[in-house]
Amino acid sequence: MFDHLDDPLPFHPDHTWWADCAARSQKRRRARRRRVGALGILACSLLALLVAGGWTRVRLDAVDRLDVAFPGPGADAGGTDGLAPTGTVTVLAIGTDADLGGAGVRADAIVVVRIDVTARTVRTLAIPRDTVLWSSPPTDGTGSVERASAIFQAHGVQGLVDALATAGIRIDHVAVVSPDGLRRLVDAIGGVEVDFLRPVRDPSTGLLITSPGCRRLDGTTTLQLVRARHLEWEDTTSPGWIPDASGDLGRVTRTETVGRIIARALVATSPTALPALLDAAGEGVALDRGWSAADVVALGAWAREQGDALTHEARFLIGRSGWLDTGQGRSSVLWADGAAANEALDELGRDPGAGRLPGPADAGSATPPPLERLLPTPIVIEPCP
Amino acid sequence: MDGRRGPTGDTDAAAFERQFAELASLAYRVAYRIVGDRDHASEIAQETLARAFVRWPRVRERSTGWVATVATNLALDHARRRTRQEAGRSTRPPVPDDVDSRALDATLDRAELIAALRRLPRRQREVVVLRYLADLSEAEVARTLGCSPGAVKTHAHRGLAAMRAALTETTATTRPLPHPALEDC
Repeated sequence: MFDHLDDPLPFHPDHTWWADCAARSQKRRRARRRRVGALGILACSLLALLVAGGWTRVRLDAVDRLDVAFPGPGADAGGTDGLAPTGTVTVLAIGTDADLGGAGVRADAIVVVRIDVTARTVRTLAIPRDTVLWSSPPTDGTGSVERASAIFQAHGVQGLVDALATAGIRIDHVAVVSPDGLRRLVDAIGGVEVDFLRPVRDPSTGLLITSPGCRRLDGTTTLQLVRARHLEWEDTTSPGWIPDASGDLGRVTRTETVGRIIARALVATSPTALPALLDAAGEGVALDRGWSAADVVALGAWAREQGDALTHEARFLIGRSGWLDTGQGRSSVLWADGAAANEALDELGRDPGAGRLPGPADAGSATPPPLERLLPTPIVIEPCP
Repeated sequence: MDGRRGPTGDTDAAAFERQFAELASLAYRVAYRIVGDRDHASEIAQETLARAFVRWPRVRERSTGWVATVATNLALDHARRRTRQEAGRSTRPPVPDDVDSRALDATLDRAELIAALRRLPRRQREVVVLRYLADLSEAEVARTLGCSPGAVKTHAHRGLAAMRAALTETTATTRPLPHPALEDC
């Protein structure tokens, strides 16, 4: 009857339309000042699925928020520009060894994630926690240095953001997840599928995978895997368990792989799993206060839209072993001032000459072995095909 | 994506996506028929869906009718604001000479439609909106409003008659027509 009043052009809402819709929903919910019960969460979770099919910000109100000052002109980075993610966004992801907010929390995993929307690439750079970073900028040729883990322990997330800025890496946003948060997150999405290339175990964490192949891990086992620092693996050519000589570096690479698998699962999670997922996020995940819900939604929507078109490149910061006098004794550290490390930083969008990582000379330490040493890091896990 | 499948064979996620994509299209179509502007219709559809999300547990059983009704109300509110703004101006913007005649006809039709819809009693308006703006079947309208199909037919008939009468009147009145006394709706 009113066909003649129809829009002659078809209506195809894209992900930015849905992201805007999600933002309206969130605003409206807050305005109503109502506590959202299980059904409400489900409804909003379904919205999130709709928006991106991806992860949502519906419960982001409940997620811990961190006050972090990001140095440099980062106001437009990772912005939504009408709720479509634009340009690049660099996220510092930190896995801690204890619940957030507790005293003496340490960083188990430090990963810089750079998402380039235009180039459709996601680059991750895992930073071993023993990597030496600037703890104060080298003004007038002198500065102080410290291990990444010690910087986090003393100055928290802000310390790491500042240290990376001094190295030329400008962080736009921060995400921190505790062990319990990770376990809950993995359980909430129904586990993660990991392909074990060989049997592995770590008696210190309780990890025991007796046969190779693809398997679904629950939250507890996933935690055992990413925290395995004394991993042993079996080879078909020789009997017995072989210690993984790469130690913490191997753990960092495994954590990065698991993180990637989890991220993929989050982007494609089911609406029925979202309430538990969001509960998990609320208790074990913290984001910086400036990371708006709309931006998170838009980014998740964008990631899902890309699908297989999204390329992923993972690296870890290559350095050489050495020592650092911390004033309380000598610590085994990783110096990452060589060519390989600089190349990795450049790939993360570092402006030429914008900064560098400290070397032994910056700390007056004894010169470590001159060659960068590529530690043996046998690949024991991969995403399932 | 979770592999669980619903009664229609879709996965939960796929079914949900499909449902809300349809609701978005419905809200947009209804809004566009009233406001005749892509940007505003899109905005109204967003607001409608946002409200549906927030109230989803209560809306889900009658989502189609709920979305169509809310989109209509928002579109009429928008049209009212626009009319006030235009009335507040000292002079109305002139109609360009080269304006598409069909577009002008549609604009006039919209103005008449809005005026006629406003004058309908609530129930008649709901039925007319669901039946003719949202293009629902009589059975769907009945289910949405909790009426019998016969009552829907009666409301639709009276509503259309009232609208036709309003469109032919030379002087409009804003007084609503009396509400019909129907026992089952």
